[in-house]
Amino acid sequence: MKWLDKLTVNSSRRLAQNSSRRSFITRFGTALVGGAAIPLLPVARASASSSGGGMYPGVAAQESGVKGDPGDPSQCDYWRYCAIDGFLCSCCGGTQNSCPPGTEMSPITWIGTCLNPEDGKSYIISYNDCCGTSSCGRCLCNRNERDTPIYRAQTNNDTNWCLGASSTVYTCSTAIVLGVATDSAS
Amino acid sequence: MARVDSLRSFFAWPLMLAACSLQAEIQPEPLPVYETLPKQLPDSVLFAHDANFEALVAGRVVAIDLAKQSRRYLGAMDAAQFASFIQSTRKPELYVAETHYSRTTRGERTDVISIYDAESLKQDGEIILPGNKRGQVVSHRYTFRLVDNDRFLLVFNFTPAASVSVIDMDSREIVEEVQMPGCGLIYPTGKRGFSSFCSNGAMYSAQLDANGKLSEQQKLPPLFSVDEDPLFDKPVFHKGVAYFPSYKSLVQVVDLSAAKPKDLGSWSLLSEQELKDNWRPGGWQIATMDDAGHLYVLMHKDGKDGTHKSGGPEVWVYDVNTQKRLQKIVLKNWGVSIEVTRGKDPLLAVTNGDMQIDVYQANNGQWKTMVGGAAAMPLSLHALRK
Repeated sequence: MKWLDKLTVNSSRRLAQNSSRRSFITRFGTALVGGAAIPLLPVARASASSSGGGMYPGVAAQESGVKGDPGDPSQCDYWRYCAIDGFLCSCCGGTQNSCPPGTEMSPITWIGTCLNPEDGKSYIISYNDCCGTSSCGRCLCNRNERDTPIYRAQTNNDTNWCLGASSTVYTCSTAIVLGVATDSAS
Repeated sequence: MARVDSLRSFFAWPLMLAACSLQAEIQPEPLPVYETLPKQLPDSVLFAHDANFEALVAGRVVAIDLAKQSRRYLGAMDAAQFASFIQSTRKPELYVAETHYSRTTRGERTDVISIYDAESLKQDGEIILPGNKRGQVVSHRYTFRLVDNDRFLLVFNFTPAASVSVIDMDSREIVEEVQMPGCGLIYPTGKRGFSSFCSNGAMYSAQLDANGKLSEQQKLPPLFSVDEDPLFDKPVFHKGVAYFPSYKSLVQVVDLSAAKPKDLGSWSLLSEQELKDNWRPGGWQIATMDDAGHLYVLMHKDGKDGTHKSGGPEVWVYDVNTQKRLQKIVLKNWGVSIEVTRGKDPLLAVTNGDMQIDVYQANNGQWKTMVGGAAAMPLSLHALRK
């Protein structure tokens, strides 16, 4: 029965090596949790605690490099991401306001209004998608502050906003400051 | 030792030969053999739309029979790039609206309705959608609907100019495009038409003639405040009446059985205490309706701005006629999307936070089983249309 034992061992090894499913679950759990304190997945919380406090295992901390712009752009709870839905370009070769190499930024976007905890001001954020290569797959983040249903599209993050690019294939999302919101959305 | 071994072999061989002669041999098997889906799909069938966010060009729709003890995964169809899905009741056909590029992620774009045979799941026809305008949103049933006893197929377009293409599924030809600036999605209305919500909370409504051409349209005054308490864009229907849960736990009722939508008012899902505890609907497919007129809503506590897609730990069930709650189902696992199957004794399917599908007995909330690994991200669940 050595052949059977051998097969079982190999299968187990394959199962152990094939951790993509688990990784995905972890990412999705984190994505839905976002910045909110909803106890969605124990897996997500366990991963977060084991990776030094970060939400995404194996993603190193970043700074935006902009004065008065607090937080980590590689984390879902970064203030600009209050209405983002997708993979963070900061984790994909881009930054919070630039696209990864080889992609194209969609000129048409949805808009969010996010509070900067540093200066207490609300900013208009443009969530331009980067497009043209397959999904980045890293740092999936879904936050929905002031997100409206699809029938009010300009503030809806379920729409594939790569519709303005030459390829509508979605890669990742940025969060670009357009300016201070004049009518502060509380 | 050698002698003992040979003695053992001496006695063992006849026994083994006798055993072999008693056991029937496995006969050679024919090939190739292909499975098909049953001609009459049972009430317990569910089509799970896998958005596959990690590789959107490789989305799928998986047919699952939730009531079977084994071999529950019946088969799958491809559904590329923010696709939409619907099953026809007029013909044994399944439709997928999808987008392809000539070089997978780049090159020439082709929007197409892929037509699948409902038994073989073979693609046996297609309708090209010109203009590169098919609306691409996270899998959503109200981007793609059939009306007029399923003769006309309606496709939501968004560029961001919004319109609806009308396709005659008998001739497989596009017969109309209805413009509806500032509005979105398709809610079947009247004999042969649809309604949409617009960005100010008003409803736009259109009727088609026997050839699928626009025959009448109207825009009604706003029904609700999108700023104060938006209605979810995923209503559920019972006897032509649409039930739209709101972010803050009201149910807006709109009669869409006639050409002109009729506001039937709203009612609350909550008791006073539940209101204080901020119980709210949340998730992706947040509500479903069974054939008896029972409304199921996925709920979470401590809701606030931004929690409307977070999912929930409980499903609350209401009789839409009495507006009374029948039961609270405490889920085994956190839920993200829900759907009940058809018939008198429905099953409740819940896509959980691990993206597996939990199955509950709908009438008592008892967890029955879990369908694992069927899809990477089954956010949209479609019960059988009859």
